[in-house]
Amino acid sequence: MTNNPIRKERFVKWVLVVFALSSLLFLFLIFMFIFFEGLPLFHKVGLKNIILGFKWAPTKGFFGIFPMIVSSFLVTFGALVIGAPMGLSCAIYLSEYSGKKMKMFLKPALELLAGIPSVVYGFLGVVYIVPIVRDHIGGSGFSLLATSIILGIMILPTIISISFDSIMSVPKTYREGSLAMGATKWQTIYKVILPAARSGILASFILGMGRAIGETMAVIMIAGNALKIPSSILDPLRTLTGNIALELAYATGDHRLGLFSTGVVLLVIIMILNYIANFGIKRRT
Amino acid sequence: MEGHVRARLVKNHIFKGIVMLFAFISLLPLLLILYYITKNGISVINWDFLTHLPRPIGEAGGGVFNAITGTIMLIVLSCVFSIPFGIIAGIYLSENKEGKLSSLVRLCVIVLQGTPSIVIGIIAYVWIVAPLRTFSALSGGIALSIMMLPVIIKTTEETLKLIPYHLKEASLALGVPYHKTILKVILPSGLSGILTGILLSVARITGETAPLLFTAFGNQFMNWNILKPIDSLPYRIFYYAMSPYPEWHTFAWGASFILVVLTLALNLIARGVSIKWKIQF
Repeated sequence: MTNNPIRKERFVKWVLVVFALSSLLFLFLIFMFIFFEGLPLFHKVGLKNIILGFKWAPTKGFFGIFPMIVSSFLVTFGALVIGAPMGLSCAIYLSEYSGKKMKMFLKPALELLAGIPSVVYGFLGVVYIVPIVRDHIGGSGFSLLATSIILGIMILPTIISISFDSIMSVPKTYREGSLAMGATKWQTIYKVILPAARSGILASFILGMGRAIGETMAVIMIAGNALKIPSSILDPLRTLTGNIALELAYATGDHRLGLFSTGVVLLVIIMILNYIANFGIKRRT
Repeated sequence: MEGHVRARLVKNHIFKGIVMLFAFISLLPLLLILYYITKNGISVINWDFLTHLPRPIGEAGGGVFNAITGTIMLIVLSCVFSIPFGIIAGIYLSENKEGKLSSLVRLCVIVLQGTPSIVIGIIAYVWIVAPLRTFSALSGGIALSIMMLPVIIKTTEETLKLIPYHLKEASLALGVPYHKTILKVILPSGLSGILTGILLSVARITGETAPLLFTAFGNQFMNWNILKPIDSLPYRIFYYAMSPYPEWHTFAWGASFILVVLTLALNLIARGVSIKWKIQF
């Protein structure tokens, strides 16, 4: 094959296919492994006892992760309550009100917000937000409220950039038509642009949820990690991600398998959310 | 009628005010984060902090040298694993736009991109940590490289797709073999995009902590062996931040400052590369 160009060419094509195949294999193995490691316990303990079980005591044979599933959704909705209105207004401001120079400055600045490591968010939460919640509102400070605030900030870049794109993709004629009919700018935004960009905006919220539910470091640092369903926004809680992060380093045997099952549940939730979001984005375009 | 018009205008202004207020509030966290990290972190940074190992609580001084070298080592390891795979898979996708294998790979890339880092950490744990029975730099590198992979594949594919087809045709028409066309024509034209993708993915993994908790673990001593646990800046921040000692908190500020400067610099360089080195067709 040394001097024959045709053979060499065939060889290169073959290398490309092998690499593509192996990266496919790689990705495939990842999901295989997660499910193979996580599923035996579902068989042994029972799906119902894991997903709807209230007690997590893996060394004693209790693998209930229901409180963590509820907690994960609670912090996610909390993050959305804080992040969605702020992010959406920011996207509206960027696309409809701000001048060109302001846009040139604000967009990269907001994208930098996404580049700040989550452990730094967690640290700032521990030092500033937790004491504020403790002193002014009550409880220990390590709470659903503090976690929701931090996660709400963390999902801002996702919400802003995707809803900005979908607002910008609304045709200019829609705006002009509405303004020409005598509608004010606000009426145009509220009645014409937002409905037209609706699916993209919803997709940005769902992707933000996906980001919040998969977030680990900030959550284990400020959520308090208590093993129960919080009864108020000032109670501590433990999420699915937190459960894996806190215990996997020292877990063995069935305990380890229990944490893998937690990972399976988490992965399934996130895959469903991303599927819905992609559906929304596809319908838009 | 007059009153009705005025009411609409007033409403218009009120909502404009609300939107601007919220936009300002959402910019506030970035400013506050940068302000607090600079204020608390910059005074901790000195030569000793950068070149000494951590000391036990009670002893003054010490630094995060092992965490800095550990982070660099993890980045190098994950680049070694992910860059060749990512770029070649990206080339394959752009060369074969349709086809079952391509669409399967694309689907996997999308799913992998949405997979939370902690689940990727579990993979590295199952593959490397459990068989070797020890936490190791290698397992941390593998976990981070799996996180880099989708970003690199995606950006390589998107960049190479934008290269005009006649460039490739011209090269092939001159009798240049296929592999040389890829190496000498297609890759150099897409260099800025590919490099941007690599830098962005490195920025993404530099601050990543969750998968390292049970792969690279952490180590208060210097370590160059990739089969032993290794320290990293984000892990050190986590460790110090969760400790009850105020001295360690100041160390966490210093480490946070270094980490934030590092990730922001990578992001800015990536932006610069994508603008400055861009080739216009």
